[in-house]
Order: sequence, then structure tokens, then C-alpha cells
Amino acid sequence: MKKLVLIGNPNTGKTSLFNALTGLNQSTGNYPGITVDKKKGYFSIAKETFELIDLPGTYSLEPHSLDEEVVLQEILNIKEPVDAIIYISDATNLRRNLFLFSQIRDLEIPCVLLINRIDKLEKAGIEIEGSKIEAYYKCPVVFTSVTKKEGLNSLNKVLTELPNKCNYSSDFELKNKGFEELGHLKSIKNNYWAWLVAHQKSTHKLFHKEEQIEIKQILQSVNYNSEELLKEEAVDRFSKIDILLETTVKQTTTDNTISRKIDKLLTHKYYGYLIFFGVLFFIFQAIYSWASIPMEWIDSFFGELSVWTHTSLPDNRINKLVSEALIPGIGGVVIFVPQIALLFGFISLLEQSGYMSRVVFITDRFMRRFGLNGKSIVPLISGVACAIPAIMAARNIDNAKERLITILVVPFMTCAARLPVYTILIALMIPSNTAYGFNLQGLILMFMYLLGFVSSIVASVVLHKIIKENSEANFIIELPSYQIPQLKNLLHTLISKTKSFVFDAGKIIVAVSIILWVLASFGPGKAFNNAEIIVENTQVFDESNTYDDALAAHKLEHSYLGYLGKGIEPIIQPLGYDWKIGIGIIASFAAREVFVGTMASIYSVGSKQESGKTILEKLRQAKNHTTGKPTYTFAVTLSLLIFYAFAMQCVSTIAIVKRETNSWKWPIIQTVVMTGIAYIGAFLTYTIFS
Amino acid sequence: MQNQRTIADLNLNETAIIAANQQGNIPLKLVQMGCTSQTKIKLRMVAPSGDPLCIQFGGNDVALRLEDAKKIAIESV
Repeated sequence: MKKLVLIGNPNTGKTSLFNALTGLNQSTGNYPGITVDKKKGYFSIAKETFELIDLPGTYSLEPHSLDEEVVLQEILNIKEPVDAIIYISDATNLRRNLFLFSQIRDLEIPCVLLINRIDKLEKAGIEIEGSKIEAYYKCPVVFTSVTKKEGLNSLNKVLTELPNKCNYSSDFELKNKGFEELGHLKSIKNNYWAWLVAHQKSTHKLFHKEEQIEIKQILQSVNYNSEELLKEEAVDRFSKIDILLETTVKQTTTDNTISRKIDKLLTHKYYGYLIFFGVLFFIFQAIYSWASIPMEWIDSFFGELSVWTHTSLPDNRINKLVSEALIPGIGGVVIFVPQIALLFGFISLLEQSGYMSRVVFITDRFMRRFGLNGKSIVPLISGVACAIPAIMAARNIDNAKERLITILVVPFMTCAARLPVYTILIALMIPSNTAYGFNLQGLILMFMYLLGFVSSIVASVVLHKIIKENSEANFIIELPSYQIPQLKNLLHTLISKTKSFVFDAGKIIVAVSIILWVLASFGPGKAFNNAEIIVENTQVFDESNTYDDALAAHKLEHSYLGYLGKGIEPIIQPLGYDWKIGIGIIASFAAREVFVGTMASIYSVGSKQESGKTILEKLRQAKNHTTGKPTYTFAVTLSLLIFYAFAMQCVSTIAIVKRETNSWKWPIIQTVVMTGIAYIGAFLTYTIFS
Repeated sequence: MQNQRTIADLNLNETAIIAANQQGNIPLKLVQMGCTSQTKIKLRMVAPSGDPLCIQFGGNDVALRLEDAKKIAIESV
């Protein structure tokens, strides 16, 4: 099997080509050490199978962000070398696209130059002589329009005829004699490899131990300014490209007038922001209204499945484990799929169309005031769905400090997992009624979202002052011309992102549901194990206190979970909570949405006739065991809302922050500080309102 | 030169050429996109708050922050 990699500038149609070649035969993994998604796919042409790796779009082989670092890591891979490179370029901007190609070509790995988007050439008034370019670079050139399915057959033909070895030699000249020493190493193929090794420390770890030591020694004896040399390299390359293009490309007009007109509107002083908020408003409306229908289906499906398993399997512990822990646990993950899929869908649309970079453009100044970056807007908005993909989206922020701050403040945003908690607490707090034509519950919910956004902004300002990390990376972004989004690409991102959410976050949620069930179903000592006799002898039963309910309550109180909840009761009493809420809070540190399920179990584990009663009714009737008054008063509920707004209750987020910052320091600080704020905030809220 | 104009001083849709010996002031990423001394540029857009700026060179529209734009000297065409 031949290993191919796909490389190109951003916005050249790379994703479309990857999807066109591999279809659904793709998978997403991770690069060791750094957590950039590794997209891999397979396809075959005339019995020959190819493995294709899709690399992040980049403008040069010098990485400016974590995302781009992967490109070098993959193509200089010594252990599993690349057999050939498919380089995709945008026909309407060959000059810039050929820069990276000229670097790739100097690697002396067989490559194909794809000139894509030829359907746009006529309108742009460009004519390209492919044969001259092919003769100049000694690499096959293929003209394509991936979205119009043109030229793919020629590409297939070229791929089957690929040579095993490069049939030209690079004439790259090292600008510093000192680097020549590097050429003596076995793994360094030519001058350009030596050049990359000299300028990119991140490549050193790709070599064998002994070679790494030698590289270090050689480079220590050379005195050079990397940035200056790299700029010289760029100038040289562009002057060669300019000479080539003079004879091969004829261009009559340069302006994309439609894009200009759209830009005038979308980056306008007032309309620009108005449209942006309009788009956001539409997305959130869609997420909540469109998603609610499938969510109800999923909810009732899993509810019925659990009842069905309970009644049709023999009544034993395995039955209970499946029907009370496993099925509701899986259901609790699947229920988020509609919302998350919709959000990813919208983000993919905004990115594909080119609108996202305009949003970055018009918000950069505003975000910078808080120590963030225009590019932080994508993670922050995604944070409303789930902090995990949002934190991963921060990878394309070049500036290390701004990236770190973005990662640290994203969990303040109101994620989808908080929504079920908020929904139930708000319903407990105020009855659903309208005031002045507004839905009061909706108003409170909006307030919670605003609170999340404002807190993340405030946190950024504070972090900006505290974190002393210096990073010089400039803010340079391309504003690509607008494109009509491809449905196929949309579906591909939607499926792969949703899949990774379900499996990554899902594992933890299901595991926690099972642990919780075990903790609630078993207990130490006589109080738990002789529960039936104790309850029978000590309590009087009537319609409001049936034997089953009393037994269930007694068992839960004396289970391991019950003791755990009681253990933290002294700590949470100042917030107005009892041990039952304590259990919910403990469970929520795995994932916030577990709260609702846990509350449901706490008030109903074991009781079978209660299916008619909703959780809400049960919570309304709940009484505090010390005061005898209803547990969920206005003050308690509000204090809980505040607690959930701030507390860092999500194992998956902690894990992802650890991976993305490559340290335990930041996730620990983040967890302690956020939970501290939550505690103080909830305490103040309870004290003021009770 | 004292009053050398920079990209930050360009008027909207004004065309200019990046002055000689500016390599040191242009961010590497911009150089690698093809914007070097003697490159013809045009100020395409300005964000509502006056920062960042969007310049056009060749077929590229690229945004950069005002602080970076102020460092890059230009010459009129």
C-alpha cells in the first residue's frame, strides 16, 4: 500500500478533494504527543490501494501554529516514510500557492501538482500553460475542479504511474556553510532537509537518538538568525516563481467584485455586527428549537427501552445494571447528538463560506482588549455546545499566550451539558408564565448564557494581567473569497465531529453512570443490608409513604453514595444544600448533565410505580431532612444555578486541557479557581436570597 | 527619513509599494505569502474600529493588526 499525503494552502479545496478521493472510507485519530486530529482515508485505483493522510492547510513548511506543526512531522517521518505527495493549489492564486509547492518539491519526494478551481479561471481572466509548469518543475501537473468533479480521472491515472523515486534533484542552496555538516547524517536526504532541521527545532525529535545529539552539536557551532534566513529563502523562491509565471500565466483582471460587495456589507461599521449577531441568534434559535424534537424522541426511546429491558429480562442485579445504569447512561450521551451535530454543522458552514474569517476580522480589536484574539471567537462560540471541541479549536491561534487564555476561559461558556441542569432548576425556581409578553424561564436562561459569556471575558482580562508568558506571534489571517459551502463536506465534518464527541465524552459519562449505580445500590453494614426489616419495624405506611418508597429512600441513605453525600454535607450546608444535592454535585464532577439523572435516581431508585411522576414533581415535593421544609426553595435553586455556572465539573474538559497545554498545572489551577468561584458565588447567592 | 509613510497611513483603496529594505519589519508569515519589499499593495478594508487592516497583494486579501502595519514603510506609486 502506498502512503500519500495531501498538502496545500488553506481554502484551496483540500477537504473536498480528500472527501472525493476517500468517500466515507476515513477515520480520525491523533498525532502522538500533540492532539491535532489526524485524518486518514483509503482508496484504490485498479487494484492498487492508497492510504491518504489529510494535513492541515498551511502557507509554508515553517509552522506558525500547532496545527501546522503536524505537516512537518508527517512529511519528515523517517520511521514510516511518505511515498508521494499530492499538492493541491488554487488556480486563481498560483503565485502564493507555488511557494509552498517549491518547498515541497525540494524534499525530493515524488509529488503531483494539482491546479484546482479551474472552473473559476475564465471569470478571473486567467490562462495557465500547464505543460510549461510541468517541464519546469519536472513533476506531473493535473488541472482539476474538485467541486465540479473535473480532472479526477487524470489524477487517478497520474497516481498509478507515480515513480517510486524522485526523478529530479533539488538545487536548493544552503545560505550558511555551517549547515552543510548536517548533510552527513544518514537520515537527512538533501540540503533542504538540512535547512528544515536547522530552522525547526520541532523536527529534531523525529530523528534517531544518536542523530539528535549530532544535530544539536552541529547547530550549536553555527551562528545564525533563523528569521532573517527564512525571509531570504522566501524572497528567493518568489523571484523564481515570478519568472516562471511571467511565461506561463496570463492574467487580465484581479478583482473579485462579488466578494468585495459582500465584504462591504459584512464588515460594515454597523451592519457587520448586526449581521453577526443575527447569525448567532439564528444559530441558537435553531439549536434549541430544531433539536428539541429529535431530543424528545431519543429521550422517550431510551425511557421505553429501559422499561422494556426491566420487564423482559429476569429480575436480578444484571437486569438492574442494564435498565437503571447502562441504558439511561447511553441515553444521556445520545440526547446531546442533535444539538452538537447542529452546532458543528453551522460552524462548518460559516468556515466553508469564508464568513468566519470576516468575523475574526471585525471582532479582533474587541477581543484583544481582553487578552484574547479574533480567532478566540470560534472556540468561545463552540464552547456553547461543548468545551471539548472548543478547546481543540483554539489550536489555530498562533499566539501562545492568547491561545492559553482562550483554553482557560472557554469552560465558563454555557455548554450544552449545563442546559438540562439549568432547564430543570429554572423550572423549579419559577413557574412557566409570561410577563410583559416574555417567557420568564427563557429570560432567566438567557441571563445564564450572558453570565457565562461575561465571566469568560472577565476571566480573560484577569489572566491577561497575571500570565507573564511572552509570545511574539503576529496576527495574520487570510480573508479568502466567499465560497458556496459543499454539502458533502458539511456532512463529513458533522459526522466525524459528532462521532468523536459520542465516543470520547460518552465513555466517561457511561462509566460514571455505572459507578454511581453501584455506589447507590450497595452499602456497608446492617443499616443497608437489613433495610427491609428495619423499615418494616420502624415506619408506618400509608398512601403518602408507601413501603417501596420508604425502603428505597432508606437504602439510598445508607448506601455508599448516601454516606458520600452526607460526608460533604457540612461543606455544602452554607450553600443551602442537603446530602442528596451533595450526591448530585459529586456525580456532576464527571459531567454536569449527570446531575439530572442522579437526581432522578436519588428520588426514585427502586420504586416502580412512580413512572407517572416526573422528576420535576418529585423535586418539588422533596423535603430537607434537617429543617423539614421543601429542599428546593428559590434561594437554594438560584444558588445551585450559580454553582453550576462556574464550577469546573467535567472530567473530559480537564483531560483535554491537560493534553492541549501539555501540563497538569493549568487544568489544576483552572479546576480549583473555577470551583472556588462557584462556591463563593453560590454562598453569596444563598445568603442574600434566603 | 522622518515622515516615511507606513501601511497604517494608507487611505482606503489607495495603492502603494512596500519600500526597500523592509524585510526585517514584515512578519515572516506575510513574507511567505508573497508580501515583500517592492510588492504592490492596496488597502482593501479597515475593520470598524480601525484595526485590523486588510491589504491586498497579488490575489491575496490578508488582515494584519495596526501595530504591525505601522512598522512597514511604503512608497507611493
